[in-house]
Amino acid sequence: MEQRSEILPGVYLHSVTTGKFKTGCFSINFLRPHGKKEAALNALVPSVLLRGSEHHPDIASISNALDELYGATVGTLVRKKGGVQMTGLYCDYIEDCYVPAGEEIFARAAEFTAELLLSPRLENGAFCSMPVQGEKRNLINAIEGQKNDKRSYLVEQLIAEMFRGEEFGVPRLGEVEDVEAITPESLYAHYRDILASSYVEIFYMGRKTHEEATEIFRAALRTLPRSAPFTSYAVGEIKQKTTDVKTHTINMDVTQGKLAIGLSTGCGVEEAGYPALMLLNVVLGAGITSKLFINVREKRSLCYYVSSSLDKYRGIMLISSGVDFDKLDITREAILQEVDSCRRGEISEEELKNAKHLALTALETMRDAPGRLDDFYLGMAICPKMPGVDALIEEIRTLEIPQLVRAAQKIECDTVFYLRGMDA
Amino acid sequence: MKKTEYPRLQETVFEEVLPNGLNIRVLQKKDFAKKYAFFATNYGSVDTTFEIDGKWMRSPDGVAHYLEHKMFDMPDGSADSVFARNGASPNAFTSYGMTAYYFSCTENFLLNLKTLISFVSTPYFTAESVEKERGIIAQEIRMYEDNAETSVSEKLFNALYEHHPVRVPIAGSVESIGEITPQTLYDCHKAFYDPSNMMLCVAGDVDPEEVVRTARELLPQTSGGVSNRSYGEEEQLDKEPKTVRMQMDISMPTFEVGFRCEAPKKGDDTMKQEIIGDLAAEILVGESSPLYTRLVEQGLINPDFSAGFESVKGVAMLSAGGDSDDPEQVVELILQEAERIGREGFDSDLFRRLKKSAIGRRTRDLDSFESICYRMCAYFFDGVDFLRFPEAYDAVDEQQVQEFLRRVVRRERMALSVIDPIKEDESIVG
Repeated sequence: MEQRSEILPGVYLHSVTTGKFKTGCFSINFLRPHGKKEAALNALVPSVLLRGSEHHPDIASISNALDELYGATVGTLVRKKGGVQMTGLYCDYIEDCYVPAGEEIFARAAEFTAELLLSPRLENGAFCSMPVQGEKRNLINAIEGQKNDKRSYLVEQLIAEMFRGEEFGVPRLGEVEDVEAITPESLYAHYRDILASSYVEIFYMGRKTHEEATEIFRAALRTLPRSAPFTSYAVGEIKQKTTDVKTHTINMDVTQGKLAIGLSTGCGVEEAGYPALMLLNVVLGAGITSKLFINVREKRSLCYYVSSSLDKYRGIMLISSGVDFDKLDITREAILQEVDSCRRGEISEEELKNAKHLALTALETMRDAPGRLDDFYLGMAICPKMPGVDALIEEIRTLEIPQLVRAAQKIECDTVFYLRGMDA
Repeated sequence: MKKTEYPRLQETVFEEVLPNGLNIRVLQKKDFAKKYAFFATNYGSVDTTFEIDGKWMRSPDGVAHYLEHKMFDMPDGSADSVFARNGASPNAFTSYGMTAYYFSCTENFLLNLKTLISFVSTPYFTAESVEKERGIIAQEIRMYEDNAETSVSEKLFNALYEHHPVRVPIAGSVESIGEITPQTLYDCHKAFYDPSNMMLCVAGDVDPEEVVRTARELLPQTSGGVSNRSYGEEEQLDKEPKTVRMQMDISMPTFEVGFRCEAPKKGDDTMKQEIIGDLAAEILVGESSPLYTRLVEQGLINPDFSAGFESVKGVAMLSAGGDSDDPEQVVELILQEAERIGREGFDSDLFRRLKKSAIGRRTRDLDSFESICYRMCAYFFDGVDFLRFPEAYDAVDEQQVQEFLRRVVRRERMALSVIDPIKEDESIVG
């Protein structure tokens, strides 16, 4: 059973009622326009909230309260989807039927999460300065630490370059200089503004009905300030195609070269052609039957990993691989040849069938995976014309090769990033 | 077929042991679209020295992992394409202790199960295909070499032990895999992929009888026996503390400290020691501990920090690690806190809450088919029934945990592995 309704002004609850899990979960997300102005602030707020509240003043007391709830988890959640940044907290906890009778874990977990969210520990009318300093340092480390994972680092650099000068090019967690400028007072003022002025999306999956969950969240969030009109947000335009392909090289002290290729797809998630693009991406670069895996890895032994993915909100495709330094150019060519072969219509019935199986299984098992479902519905909340799980399943079943070829013909290579060694 | 109820977890497991020694377990999960099968052998990267046809053999480092890659080859093509045709996504991994092959699907479950059992029990290697894989695996090894998290653990294991093969990375090295031939792979398959050394675990809305029937039809009737193995001389637990450092292109230092523990005995002791070790780590420096709050408030650790107990065939350790600007200071404070707890004990209420929390989290973990099947196999290879964990927690008391900390968390048991960032910022964007 799935239902969605506005439970408080500007606060929407999407609930999925199911009895098959031992874990119940929910997330409370504040929707903000993503950009330089507030990305770092939005990323910092939830971490500071987890450092202490009025009734649970430090990490140990918060953690002890979670232990008392049979090992419930509360964590921060900062996401970026197109031009929208979502900041908030999630909680997962054991369902009531696995603990001694009479203990209501969900209601207590919701109350506790709301307390962390709405009653932070304060000093002089602002956040306490020590936790803010500590969490600023952690956030800066997290931003700088992105380079530790070379594969995702290169992809992040690629996206930043493709959207240079646009708000979308600002990284999910903001930039170091913006984190440095934050004070306990400025953060607290922004936090109060987020609470009052944002649209809020709550995702809940567990054993309670929509009505029961509504009642529990309404009670937990009774002190949430609300002042309409709420801050608007926009997913943004999709990437336009360019005529010249730009190539950039980053040098680091590494033993393996890497490459990341960014392409414009000419198709956003709310457009009619999106399901075909989604399936084309599977044919090209998702899983072990994809063209990239078979032709670039298996037949030519160039790499261990090579795969493609979509950013459905911004209409881009990202392809990444790790190879020897002297194979970077050959691999780039080999990858782009596979994109070309899709454009020329060289997709077999078997490739179509394999891709359909893979895509359909991923969709059909989404209701077995609360985290994936949460993320999917949050996307639907900001893109109301985006097809739902069942609509996507229906549509993918009917797709034929020519529709995939048309999707491929709109794809254009935009930017290429290489990672090389210091003297390679 | 044996049916076991686990009332505290509200789970039912169907179990059968075939005449060839294969243990099969099925966990029925109604209402899930996903069906999942996991076929594992008690053979990991540390099983490099073994007896075959009466002779002891030392196989090249990284062979279990190499074999895992090549198992997908069949005389009539790759198992991958058969799975793909039937709508399944297969994968595999090799750890220090086991090699496992698995798939998930929503339809054609029995067909896919047949493919899984067939390809894992059919060794087929040619000189050409073995050669071809070398380039792919070399790139995989290079990828791990550039990964600080993997490297810091590998260097720690290397520093903690002198003889045990856990000292060597799971995938071996680019040099060691150069020695692997089709014959090496055939030998290792024969030595360790015997049904009596394996387990098949299934989770999902499936018929247990059909799972058993499928396995019975496809596998040999009898066991061919399993090789004896050796993990080298017994490790000395107390010795000079050791620190190993290296540099990588990372943003801040990352570290892992390990303390050698007595290896658990096969059987119930494995789970007991692990629970004692995990609770000890929580009491000492878990999120609910006073020390954790202190370390965060002093800016010495960040949310990536974690601590726990692990054991692999004959060795065990308590380890803790994460990112820190001053790993030595973190280690000093951990040693001091362990010494204090060893002397003064700890808050009984904290201990009660931590047990409650651990049982709750492990129970919730049973929502993950991957996690259930992996743990059922890992514990089975150690001679324990994983789903008995609530009772095992009940049996652990405060004195055991305090005694563990007193005995294990000492300088003489310790090694520290640190990766520092390269000094000057040499990265250039052009």
